[in-house]
Amino acid sequence: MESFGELMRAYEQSGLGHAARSTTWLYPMANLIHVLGASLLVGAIAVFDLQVLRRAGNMRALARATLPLAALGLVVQLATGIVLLSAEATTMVLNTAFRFKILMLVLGLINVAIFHWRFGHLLRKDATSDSARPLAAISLGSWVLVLLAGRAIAYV
Amino acid sequence: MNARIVPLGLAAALWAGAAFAHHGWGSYEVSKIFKISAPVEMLEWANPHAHLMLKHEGATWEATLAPLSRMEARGLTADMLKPGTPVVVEGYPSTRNEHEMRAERITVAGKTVELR
Repeated sequence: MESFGELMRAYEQSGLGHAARSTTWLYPMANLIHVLGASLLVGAIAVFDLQVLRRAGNMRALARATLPLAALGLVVQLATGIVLLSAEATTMVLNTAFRFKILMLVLGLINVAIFHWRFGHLLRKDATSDSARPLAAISLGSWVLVLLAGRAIAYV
Repeated sequence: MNARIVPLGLAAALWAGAAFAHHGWGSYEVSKIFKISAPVEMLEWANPHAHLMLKHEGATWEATLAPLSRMEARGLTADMLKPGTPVVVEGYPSTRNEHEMRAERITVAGKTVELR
């Protein structure tokens, strides 16, 4: 089993890593689209979570309006994030803000899984649930922190 | 439940926010602007920032330049910074890494390119 550091070195030295560093536009384009993906992901999740927190009702309509955008945002973030990370993976994994971001990302994703496991049935109903509110609060907090920590990578 | 989560979220946000207080251009001593005039020892023409290695007062300094797209748009290319080429780099020393500087501008072959 390779160490994590060796894995990051291999990732950084991959063709993708070389392309991200040596071409003029791949890295900035991935960066631009990463901002678009972040706005889709966190914007859609914020609308969903705030409506659940406000007990707005009709989770089905809410879910149909927001969750596809959030899912699209997540796919965009993973695809562009893989490019951005490849440029400097070995040093990035030592960055405090990046580490905190990954921690919050894992928390956010676990929360999504728990939400769907416990309240997935509500997403097909014209109803809401008080017991879903704590998870919505955790979701909002974790995804906003993912966003802020991501921007903070350049400043720590 | 919310009563407990909201303060927790706020505390976490403050903790993350504290990270903002330190760096960016803040991790360079803007008051200590200085120049290095030396031939290029090594060039790393790479995103997100290019780097130059230069000898200065007996030490090898790493000068952090700008993103490639910005430099190319301003007429600075990797070909102009081949090892051995004399350059003047003006910038600020890092407060975190000894012998690292953030370049404000670079002069090569009589042409000065702003990097910010």
